[in-house]
Amino acid sequence: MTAGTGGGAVTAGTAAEGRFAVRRWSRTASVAAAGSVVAVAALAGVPYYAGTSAEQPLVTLFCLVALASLWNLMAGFAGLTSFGQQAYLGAGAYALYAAASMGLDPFAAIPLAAAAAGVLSLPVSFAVLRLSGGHFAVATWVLAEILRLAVTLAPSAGGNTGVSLPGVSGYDALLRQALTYWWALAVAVCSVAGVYALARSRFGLDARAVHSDPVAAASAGVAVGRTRRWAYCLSAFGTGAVGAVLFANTLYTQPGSVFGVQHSVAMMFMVVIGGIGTIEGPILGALVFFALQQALSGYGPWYLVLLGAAGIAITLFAPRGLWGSLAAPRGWSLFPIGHHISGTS
Amino acid sequence: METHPSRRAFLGVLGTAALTGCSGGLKESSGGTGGTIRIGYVSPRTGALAVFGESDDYVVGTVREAVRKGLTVGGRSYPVEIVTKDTQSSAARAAEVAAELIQRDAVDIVLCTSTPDTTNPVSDQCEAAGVPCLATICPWEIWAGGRGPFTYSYLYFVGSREETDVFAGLWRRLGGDHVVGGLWPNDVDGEVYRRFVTPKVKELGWRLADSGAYADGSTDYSSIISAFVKSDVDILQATPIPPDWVTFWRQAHQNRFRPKMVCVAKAMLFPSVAATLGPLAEGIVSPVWWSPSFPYKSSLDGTSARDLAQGYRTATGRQWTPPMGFNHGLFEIAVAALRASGDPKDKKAVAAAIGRQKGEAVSGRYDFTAGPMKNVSQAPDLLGQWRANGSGGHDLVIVDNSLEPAIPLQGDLRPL
Repeated sequence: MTAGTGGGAVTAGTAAEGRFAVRRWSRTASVAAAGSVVAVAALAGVPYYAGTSAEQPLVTLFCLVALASLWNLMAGFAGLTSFGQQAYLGAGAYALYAAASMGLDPFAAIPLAAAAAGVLSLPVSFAVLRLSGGHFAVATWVLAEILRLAVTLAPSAGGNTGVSLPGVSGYDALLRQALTYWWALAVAVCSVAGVYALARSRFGLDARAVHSDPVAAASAGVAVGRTRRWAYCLSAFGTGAVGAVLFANTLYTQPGSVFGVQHSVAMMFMVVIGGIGTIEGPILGALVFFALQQALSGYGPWYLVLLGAAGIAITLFAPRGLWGSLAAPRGWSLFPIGHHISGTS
Repeated sequence: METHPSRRAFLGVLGTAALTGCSGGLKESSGGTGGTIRIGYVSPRTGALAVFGESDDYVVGTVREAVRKGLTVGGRSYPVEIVTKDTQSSAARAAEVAAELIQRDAVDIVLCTSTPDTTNPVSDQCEAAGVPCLATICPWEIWAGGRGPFTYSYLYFVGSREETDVFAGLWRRLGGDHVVGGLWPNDVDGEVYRRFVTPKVKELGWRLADSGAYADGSTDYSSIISAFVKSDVDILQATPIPPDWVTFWRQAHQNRFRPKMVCVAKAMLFPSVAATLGPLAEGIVSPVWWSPSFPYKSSLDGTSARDLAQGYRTATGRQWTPPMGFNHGLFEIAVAALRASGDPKDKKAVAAAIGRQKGEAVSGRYDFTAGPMKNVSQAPDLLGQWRANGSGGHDLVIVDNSLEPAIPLQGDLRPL
């Protein structure tokens, strides 16, 4: 039995008369971890053996993987369904613009942009985390709209026209491409590995307790507010990094597009079809979303109709997402985050 | 960052090898790829800006036909291939497809058209990748603002400051003092008009009533209309998106707001909007970048402006649109620059050649050597007035040609 929440483990512990063992790792997990390291190393070499035509789509894919994992950190673990993560995408992009305008190297400034988004999310979290459920979702969306309007009304940030990334003209085209690619890969790997590590830690247990029942979690001694705040701010930090990488990739950003709610829709789509509350799910969801995007983009408006139809089909026939429906009945877990309890007496 | 030179050299060698390998594997044969001139064309075909790309199939079709036999440059003959991409009316998607054209399709030149959402991200991608780029249908001030320096990217279009001056000239024809009402939404065009018209009205010593930056897609304009009526606005200068203009103008009519002159940029460029308004379109003044009455012809095959519009009508049953002329002109300038480059595969040479181009396309005269700034050729902006044509529709009649007297006037300005 894999305990889905911290509560499950506690019950098992007190009810068990004899001795029992908690297993958190498996051979599959070791193989998956080793395989991931090899895969990341292989991907890191892409600029050397595959060239720019392979880099471009992979940058998009990596950003999607990062966004899905970060959204899952909030929605899948801490139970915060945000509809406004685009606020931090935009914050990251415009922070990168500000840093590059001041003469910093745009690629060196990406961590600064991410930090700026993370810092912004802290005061915001005090306001939005007072709400929950649908109210929280709407409040986060409103926040993104406020930021969009603020940028629109600021001529120094380019207003509605948008801005170009300064400081890239000195770069050789191939090197610029490769640096963008490596940054996107790094952000995706850090997001997935970071969420994995968090989910396996005490924080992960707290977060899932808060997700299941905040009142019960609080009475069991979990700091509900602090857990949610960490999830929210860390997710904002990572999303800010993605925003900066996307800007470095497109070289042009516009409030109407970077603060667009379609980003939240995409994050939700990827997490829900992949499998919420797992590490594998968002990655799978991002792959599916990316494949659909590539395959259907030629169909114009039909692309959105088909995407919607795929979403409906999966929620109807595989409500736990693709990974959830595939793995849970078979007991698969490449990146285990639960507590596997077995009696040893 | 100290390791730049060595890493750059290493990557350069490997990357170039990989790139050549990739494009060789993708296309017919490496020899064929090297010998074909590829032109990329980026425009909005779907989404909110689809009306701009409506005539693309026809325009690109005529260009394909005109260059079917290929181009001869520096004594060598090259077949020409045109690769088109749709931005889905999104700036992010525009950047993405531009990168695809550069990296996967390995195009020799990128053409992009219609609104800053297309021209700016595509120009940025080309500038960063060192690929020649030519843009149109974006006022040059918006294209150049806060960007640059430009080496590889060029723009051929009208300017907003000049357009404001032409409008002001028209207003002065009314005589006396006036109150100008500015209907400027919270978008790029609204911002630019506010920036240029506000000082212009002050210069004339008139009063200005600004609508405030309302959101695109608003459906209730009663407060703006009553503010305009209260300030005695008798000249309206508006840059709304087409559906908003239809809503606004109908509400204005219901509320008996009837200025002496109504100048509408953007929304009233397209005959389809005039058709939606019906009798309410009568007398509205709109900029004319291009019309079938322009006395120019294609430098590719000699097709006149009138025949281009007529051909479109015959092929699709639809009325001409202003972007047609400029989009066709873009290809003409590109072909002229490729010819003048000496080597169409040399990106630096092609980019430099665009900067030397000076001539005539179906869209009018272009001259990249004269300014208003480096890498920009400014097109003249004319004004037209929508008038009922006996057959139930409306035609845009040219009433001001002060910037290009070579284009004939078609009528006198009539106040509403």
